[in-house]
Amino acid sequence: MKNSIYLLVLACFFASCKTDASVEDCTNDSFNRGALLTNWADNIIIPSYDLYVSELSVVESASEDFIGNPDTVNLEVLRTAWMEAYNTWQNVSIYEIGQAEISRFRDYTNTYPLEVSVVEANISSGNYNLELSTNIEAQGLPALDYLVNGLGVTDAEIVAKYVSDGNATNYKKYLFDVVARLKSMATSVQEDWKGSYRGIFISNDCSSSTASLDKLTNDMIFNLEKVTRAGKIGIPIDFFGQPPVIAPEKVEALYKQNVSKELLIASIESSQDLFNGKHLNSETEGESLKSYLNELQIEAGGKLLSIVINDRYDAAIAQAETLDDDFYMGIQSDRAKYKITRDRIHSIIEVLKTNMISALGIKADYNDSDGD
Amino acid sequence: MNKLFKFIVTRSIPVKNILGVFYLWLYLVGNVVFAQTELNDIVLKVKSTESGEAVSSAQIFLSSGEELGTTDKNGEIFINGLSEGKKYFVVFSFDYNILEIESIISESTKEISFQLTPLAEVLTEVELDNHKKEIFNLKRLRPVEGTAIYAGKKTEVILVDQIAGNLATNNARQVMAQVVGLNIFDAGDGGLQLSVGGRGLDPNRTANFNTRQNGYDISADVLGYPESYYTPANEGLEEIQVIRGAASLQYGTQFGGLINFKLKRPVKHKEIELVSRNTVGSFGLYTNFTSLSGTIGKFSYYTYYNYKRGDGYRANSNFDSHNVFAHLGYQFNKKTKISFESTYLEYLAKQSGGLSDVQFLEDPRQSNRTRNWFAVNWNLLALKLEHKLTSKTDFSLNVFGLNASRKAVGFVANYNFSQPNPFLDVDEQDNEGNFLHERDLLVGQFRNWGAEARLLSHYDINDRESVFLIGTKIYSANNTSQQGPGSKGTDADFSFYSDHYPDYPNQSNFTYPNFNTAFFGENIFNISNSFSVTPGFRFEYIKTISEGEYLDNNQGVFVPDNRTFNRNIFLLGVGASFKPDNYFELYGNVSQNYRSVTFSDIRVTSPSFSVAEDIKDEKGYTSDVGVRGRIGKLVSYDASVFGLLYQGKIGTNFVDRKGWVRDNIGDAFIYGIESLFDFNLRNIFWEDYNYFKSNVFVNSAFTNSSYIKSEFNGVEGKKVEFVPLVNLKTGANIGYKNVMAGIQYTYLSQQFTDVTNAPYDPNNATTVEGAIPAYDILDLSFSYVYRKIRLETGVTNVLNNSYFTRRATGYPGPGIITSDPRGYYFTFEFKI
Repeated sequence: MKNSIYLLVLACFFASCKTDASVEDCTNDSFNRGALLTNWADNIIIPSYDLYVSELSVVESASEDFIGNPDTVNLEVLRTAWMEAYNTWQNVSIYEIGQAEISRFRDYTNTYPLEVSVVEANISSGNYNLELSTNIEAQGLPALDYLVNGLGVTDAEIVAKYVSDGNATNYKKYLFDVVARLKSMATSVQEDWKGSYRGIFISNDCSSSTASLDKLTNDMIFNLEKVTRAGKIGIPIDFFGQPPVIAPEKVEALYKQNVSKELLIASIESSQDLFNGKHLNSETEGESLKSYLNELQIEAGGKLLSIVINDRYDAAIAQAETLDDDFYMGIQSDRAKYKITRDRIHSIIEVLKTNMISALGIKADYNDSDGD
Repeated sequence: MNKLFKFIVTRSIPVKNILGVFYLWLYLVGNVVFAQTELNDIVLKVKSTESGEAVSSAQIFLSSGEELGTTDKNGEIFINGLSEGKKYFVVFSFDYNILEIESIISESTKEISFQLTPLAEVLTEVELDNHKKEIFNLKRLRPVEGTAIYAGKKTEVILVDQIAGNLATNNARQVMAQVVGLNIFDAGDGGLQLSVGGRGLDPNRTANFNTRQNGYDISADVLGYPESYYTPANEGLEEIQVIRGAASLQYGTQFGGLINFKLKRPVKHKEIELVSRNTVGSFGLYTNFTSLSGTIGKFSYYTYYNYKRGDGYRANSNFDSHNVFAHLGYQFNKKTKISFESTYLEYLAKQSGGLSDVQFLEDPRQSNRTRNWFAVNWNLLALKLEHKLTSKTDFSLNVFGLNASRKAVGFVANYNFSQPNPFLDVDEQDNEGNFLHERDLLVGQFRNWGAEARLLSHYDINDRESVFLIGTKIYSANNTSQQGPGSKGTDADFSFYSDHYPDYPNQSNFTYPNFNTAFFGENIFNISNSFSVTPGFRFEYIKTISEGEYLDNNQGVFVPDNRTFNRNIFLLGVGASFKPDNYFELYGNVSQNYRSVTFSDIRVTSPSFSVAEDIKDEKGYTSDVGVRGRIGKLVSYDASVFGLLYQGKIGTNFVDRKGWVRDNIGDAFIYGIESLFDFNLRNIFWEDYNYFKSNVFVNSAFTNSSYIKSEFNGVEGKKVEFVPLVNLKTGANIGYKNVMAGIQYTYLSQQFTDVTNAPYDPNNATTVEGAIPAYDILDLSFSYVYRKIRLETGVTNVLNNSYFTRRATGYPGPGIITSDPRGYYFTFEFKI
C-alpha cells in the first residue's frame, strides 16, 4: 500500500517534470534571436572583418613598398593606409567573440600607451616574440603609429631611421613583423567567421550566459565602457583622480595626434550601428537590439527605450564633435569638455547595462568597471 | 512566546545576559527534572545456555532501538526507570545467536534473565555482517542517542565496515552510496577533500553541511569559511551519520544538515589490537593505514596513522599526505567518561588545473598548468566529557580547537590581458624556458576554538515519557587570509614575493575575528504511545568581522576595507513522528535554516565592488515528510518528499552608478522525492542459508528546482545549479561465507552549474559556465577474509566512461576537473 502511494507520487512528479520540459523555455519571449544574430553576422560583423582585412592588405603592400624603398612618398602612403585600418578597427574591436576572443585580438591589436622602451629594445636586439603577452604593449596599431609617425619630428627624420640608422635593418624587420602579425590575426578571425563560426554563432540562439546574443551584447557594452569611455577619455583625463593628474601621453594614436577625435567618434558610431542593426556602409537596418526592444515594447520615462538609447548615443556623438582633433593638446587646455563627453558615454552605458539587459533577460557577465 | 520572539529579534541582547538567562533556565529545569523519583531498579542478567556462565559485553536493546547497556563481567546490567508493561528485548553478543524476547515488567520486577545460545563455530564474514545489520536495523530508528534527539528528522547512517568499495581513497561515491540524493565531486585526489552536496547545494568542500568528527566541528570556520579541508580516513570510521536540514536546530544551521564522522572506538577486552592495511591502485596509488586500539582497565585508546600518495590520472598532478589520529579515553566510573582526541593532517598536492569543454573532449588527461601546488596543514584537538547525572539525565561537553592553514600557489591567469581567462591564457615561457609570470599565492590561516555543552533528560508528563535536550555553544575564531604574488619558479614555494612584484594586481590581506554563541533546545512530547511531536529552537548571536586592505590597481595604493556584522538569529522547527509499531514510522519536520554570510561575501578586493549595507544571511526552510521502516525482514525503506526554500541567495549585481554591489539577490525553491530501498534477497529466498548474504539497494532522488525571484536578469524561472533531475545509485551485495562481492551503478542526469542555465556546449573554449552532462558509473568490489587477513579489491568506473562532475570556478581549476577513468585497487589487511 505504502509503495503504491510512493509510486503514485512519483508518477505525478514525473508528469509534472514532463510538462515542464515540453515547454521550450530557451528564451523568455517570442522574439527570433536567430534572425538578429544572422543580421549581425552577415550584414555587420563579417563585412566589417572583410573591410578590415582588405585595408590591412593595403597596409601590408604599402609597408612592403616602404621597406623596399623607404622614402617620404611611400611613408605617406603607408600612413594613410594605417589610418584607414585604424578607423575600421574601431568597429571590429567590438566583436571579441569566437576566434577573436581566443586569440586576444583586441589586446594584441590596440593596447596603448605603447611601451616605447620595449619596442626599441626589441628592435635593437632583433630577438623578440610578438606572440608573448609581455609584448602586448609593443605591437599592433599603436606600434605602427610609432613606426610611421613617432620615430622623428619630420618625415625625413623618420625615413632616416629606415635608411641610415645603425639599426635600419631591424627597424624594417620590426615594421614588417608588426604588420604581419596584425594581418595574420585579422585573417584568422575572418576565416573562422567564414568557416564554421558563423553557424555556431547563429545557432547558439538561446538565453543564457553562454548564448551568442548574451555574450555579444556584453561585448558591446564592455567595448563602450572599457575601450571607448575609459581608454579614449577616462584614463587620459584621470577621471577618478583626486586631484586628477592628467596623462596626455595615454591618448590613442599619440604619435599621429590629430586623429583622436575621429577614432572616438568612429567607436561610438560603430556601437550605435550594432545596436540598430545597421548594415555596414548602408542605411538599411535589420533585426537588432533596437527591434528586439521595440517588439517587446520596452519603454523608459514614457518613451520607447530604443529611442532613449539612440538619443543618448546622439548626444554623446554631438558632445564628442565639440572636442579637439588632437586630444593630446586638448585635454591639457580644457579637461572639463572631455569629462562631459565621458559622462555622456557613461549615460549610454547606464541605460544599456540596466534597462536594456534586464528587459532582454541578459545577465551582465563581466564585473570589472574600473579603469578610468 | 510571540513577544519573546520579537524581543529577541529586535533587540540586540548582550551575550552575557543571554548566557545568564540560559543558566537560570538550566537550573530551573534541572531542579524539576532531577527531583523526579525513579520507579524500579532492575537487574538484567545474560547467561549462556550451554555452560550457564555469565556472558559479558552483550548488548541489550529495547525493540524501539533504545540501548539499555552492555553487560559487565558478571553478565549484568543495572537499570532503573523502565516503565511498566510489556517490553520486547533484543540481546546481542558476537559469539551467540541474537535473542529476541518479550517480558512483562511490573512494579515487583527485580530481575530479568536472558539465555543465549552459542554459535557453533567461528563466524564467517557473512554471518558477522548479517548480525551487524540486524543490530543496525534496530538502532537506526532510535529517537534519542547519547545527548542528541533524532525524532522526526530524516537521518541516515552508514556502517562503514559494511561498505563495498575503495575505503583507502575515501571514494565517496561508494562510501556514501546509500545516502539519498548526494551530489558528489569525483575528484581522483585520493579522497583528500570530501565534496558532497545535495538538494541544489554546492558540493564544493562540503561547505553546505555542518561537518563534524565525533560530534565536534572540523571545518575551517563554521560560519565564515565552512569549507572542509580535512576528512577523516574512511578506514578508521565506524559510522557516518547524516541528518538533513532539520539538523539546523541542534547542530549547524546549514541548509544541507549535518555530516558526522564517527571514528572507531577502542576495542574492549583487549589491551592491544593492531590493524594494518596497505593498498595499491591505479595511477600510482599507495596507501597505508595502521591503527592501534585497546582498553586497559579504565583507560582506552584508538589511534591510527594514514599515508597516501598518488600520481593522479592527469598530467601535472600528484599528492602526498600524512594523517594521524589519536583518541584517549578514561572511564572514571559508570557515570563519567572523559576523552581526548588529537588529529593531524598534512598534505601537498600538485594540481593540474581545469579544462574547457573543447580541451576536455580533445584529451581529458591534458593539463596546461605545470606549477600549481596546494598544501594543507590541520591540527585539531578535542576534549569530551560525558557524564550521567542520573539514570535519566546525560550531560556532555565538547571543547575543541583548530590551528590550520591552507596554501595555494599557481598560475591562474595572465593579467597582461584586459580580460584574463583561465583557458585561453597560456603559462608563457621565454626562449630559455623561464616562466614569465609570477604565480598567484593565497594563504589562509585558521585558528579557532569552541565549546558545546548538551544536557538531555527523560522525564514524565502524565505518565508518558518525554525527552528534552538543551545545549549551548560558544565559538571564537581568528582567521586570516592573504593573497599576493608568489614566485616565478616551479616548486611548491609558498612565500610571498611582494617586494619583487609590487604591481601584482591581486593583493589583499585580511583578518577575520569572529564570535558566535548559540543556545538551543528540543523536546520530544509523546502525545500517545505511537505519536510524538518534537518542537525545537535555536538562538544564535553572531559577530562577523572582516578587517584588512586590498590593492587598488588604479591608484596603486592599498585601500582599507573593514566591516562588522552583528546579528541575533532565532530559528524554530518542529518534527513529528507516528510510529504505530516498531517497523513503521511516518515522520515529518519543518525547520528554519540559514547560512551566515561568509568572509568572501562581505570582503571587497576591488574598487568597483561594494557590499550592500543591509546584506543579510541567507535564510530559508527545509521540510521532510516520509515513511521509513521495514516490511518483515525482507525490505527496509526510507522514502520521503522534501522541500527547501532558499531566501536571499547572495550574488553580485550591477546597480546603476554604484557599480557592482554584492547583495541578497534571489530566492529559490527546491523539491523532490528521495528514497532508499534495501531488499534482503537472502531473507526472501534463502532464509535458512546462514552462510549466504544477498541484498539489493535502490537509492534514488528525483529533484526539481526553480528560482522564484531574482534581481539578476534572465534568472527568474531558471533551474537551480547542481540539481540533476535524476540521481540514482543502485547496487547489489552478495556474500558466501568469507567471500563478498558488490556491484554498484550510479547515474546522474544533466545538471546546470550557473544561474542562467548555460547549456552544455562542446565548442566552448572560453567560459567556465556550462551544464555538466549526464553520466553513469559502474563499480565492482570484492573482499575475502581468511582468519586475521582480509583482502579487498575492485574496479572503479568499469565502463571506463570519460566524465566530469565539476566545473570549478576557482581552485583547483578553474574549469572542468576530469574524473578518473577505469581504475583498480587492491588492499591487504591483517589484524593482530
